[in-house]
Amino acid sequence: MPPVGQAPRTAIEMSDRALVRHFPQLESALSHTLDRRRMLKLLGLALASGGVAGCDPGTPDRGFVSAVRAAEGVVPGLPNVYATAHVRDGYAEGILVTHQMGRPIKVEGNPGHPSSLGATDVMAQALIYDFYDPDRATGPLHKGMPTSWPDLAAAMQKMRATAMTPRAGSTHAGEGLRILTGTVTSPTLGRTIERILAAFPGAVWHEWDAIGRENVTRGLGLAYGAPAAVIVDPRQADVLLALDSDLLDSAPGHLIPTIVWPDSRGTHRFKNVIHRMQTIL
Amino acid sequence: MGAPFTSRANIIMTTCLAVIACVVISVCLLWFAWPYSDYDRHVGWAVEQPVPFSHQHHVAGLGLDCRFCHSSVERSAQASLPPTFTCMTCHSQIWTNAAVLAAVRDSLLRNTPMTWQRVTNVPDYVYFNHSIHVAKGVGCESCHGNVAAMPLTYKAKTLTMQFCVNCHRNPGPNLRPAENIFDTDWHPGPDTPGAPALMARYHLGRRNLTECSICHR
Ligand code: HEC
Ligand code: HEC
Ligand code: HEC
Ligand code: HEC
Ligand code: HEC
Repeated sequence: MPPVGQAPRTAIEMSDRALVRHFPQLESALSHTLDRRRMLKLLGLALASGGVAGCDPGTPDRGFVSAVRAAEGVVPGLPNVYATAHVRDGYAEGILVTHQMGRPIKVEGNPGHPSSLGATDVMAQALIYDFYDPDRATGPLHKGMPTSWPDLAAAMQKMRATAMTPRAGSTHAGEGLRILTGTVTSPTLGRTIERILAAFPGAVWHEWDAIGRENVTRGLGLAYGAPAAVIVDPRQADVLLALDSDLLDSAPGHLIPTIVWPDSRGTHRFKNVIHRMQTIL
Repeated sequence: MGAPFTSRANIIMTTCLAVIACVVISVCLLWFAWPYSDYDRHVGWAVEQPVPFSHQHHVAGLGLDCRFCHSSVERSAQASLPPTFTCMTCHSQIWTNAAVLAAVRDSLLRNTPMTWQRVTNVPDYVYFNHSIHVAKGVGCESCHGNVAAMPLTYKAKTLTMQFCVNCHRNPGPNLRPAENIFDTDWHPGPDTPGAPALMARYHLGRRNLTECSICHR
């Protein structure tokens, strides 16, 4: 990633070449200016085609698809609840998903899960959209085009031999093999990747998140001298001073501090201290 | 120059007009009535299914209960169709090589679900719920006919709005004791409770069941 300070901050600061590279369709869009007539024509067309959509005969009935084996506890036509976890930046929170025969309709927190206690954050609530969003990834891509899992497995099978033989001038198998993931806290996935790395000592594993927590991790490492994760209990505090931290708002793993923080209202040790949070961003 | 029209022209003219009026009116009536006809609604037509399943053999012949296969009918809006596994509890032992059952065996082997064609249907804008009807003493037969006698399943009733509302106006005569709900060839006997008794038993008659929002939610 280039240092933040050097990237142009607005489009105006960009050179023409950089503009074309960033917004490939900008040039053609600017060369077809819309006059009023054309605009009205297009609006009329949009109105008319809205009417055409009403003539849609509806989805044809595709009949009943009955299960091969009945799913346990699922009554067709009645909503059912399923416990799972929502993982964000490596922090998992327990959720309960209500679904109709496998189609999720509502996400709620899991009262029995220690990192949810029945609450969810906006990200977990938005998972439903994630599921039905037509733009979401539905499978593996190859050079931008959808491909199937068996194809992917076949391609990886073929690459295996090449990856196994060390490159000229090197003794490590797997050089050139890179694995890119988000933050992984799943023990199973972590163990699997470690086994791959053991089999291909030349391979490299990159962990990257769009909004990463690596500075937090590094800071905790500096503070405690070893990699650490902090479980915050704000009930112990009379005044919280948050420096560039959104602990009670939307940081991953913030749910429990947010829930228990009000519990300590009125129980502080010093009579003249107002229970409060100071945030400096 | 003689008159261009003879005196007969008047008669021809009026008959033509009358015929045209008749045709227009009957076409209009037909256009209205056709969607409600048994023919257009495929009442009594056997639908082609992946397996020629016979209720006659399985229900009347073997004595299976509807709920063995339509397991959610008492609890849910949907009656649901049986999973492949239910068929295979028997057909892994009897008729194991029958060609008609190939689709059932394939489904279990390949783990691909079977797709049954719909026989009974109401439009999407109508809300229907099985569980309430079963709980309130309406037998399957009232809407599906004598299923146990059908070698191939067909639609027995037209299922127009009039059909539903006719019973909702006065359900009493169509109710039956709880133990006869799944019997599709049931007739009231001398010791069957009368309509008022059944209405009282099922706590009916306190609500207006013809309210539009009951079926159009
Ligand atoms: C052995 C399992 C089995 C039993 C028992 C059984 N059914 Fe079915 N039923 C099926 C299958 C399979 C279908 C789908 C194929 C078909 O339509 O024939 C079906 C279809 C139907 C349909 C048509 C559904 C549609 O597509 O609209 C009705 C109505 C029905 N059953 C009613 C009953 C009634 C009433 C009983 C009890 C008297 C009963 N069934 C017992 C298996 C069963
Ligand atoms: C209780 C055991 C049992 C179950 C469950 C069962 N069957 Fe059958 N089935 C039989 C028997 C017994 C016969 C032979 C009937 C006969 O010849 O009189 C049969 C016959 C058939 C036949 C041959 C045609 C006919 O009707 O004679 C078909 C098709 C069939 N079954 C389909 C199904 C399907 C589909 C299911 C699942 C919805 C199913 N069966 C579930 C016992 C069962
Ligand atoms: C009051 C009328 C009525 C009664 C009583 C009734 N049904 Fe239905 N049934 C329907 C209608 C209407 C549909 C079509 C539903 C749809 O289109 O969504 C249907 C559909 C079905 C289906 C197809 C699968 C499904 O879930 O839609 C089955 C199977 C079925 N009924 C079985 C039964 C059985 C078994 C009983 C008796 C316990 C029964 N029905 C009683 C009206 C009725
Ligand atoms: C043979 C009589 C009968 C027929 C036919 C019938 N119903 Fe009903 N329906 C009832 C009875 C009885 C109740 C129970 C009313 C109550 O609980 O007060 C009921 C209840 C309902 C309810 C639930 C009402 C509520 O809010 O609890 C719906 C929805 C419904 N019927 C829809 C239909 C539709 C749609 C049809 C036509 C496909 C239909 N019914 C045909 C007798 C019938
Ligand atoms: C007992 C259930 C029930 C009730 C109550 C009911 N409807 Fe319906 N309605 C139906 C069914 C079922 C259909 C679908 C008929 C068909 O397949 O054509 C329907 C269809 C319709 C249609 C579509 C036109 C047609 O006939 O196909 C209209 C409009 C309508 N209903 C209006 C009403 C109004 C207004 C009320 C209140 C006075 C009402 N319904 C109450 C069950 C009901």
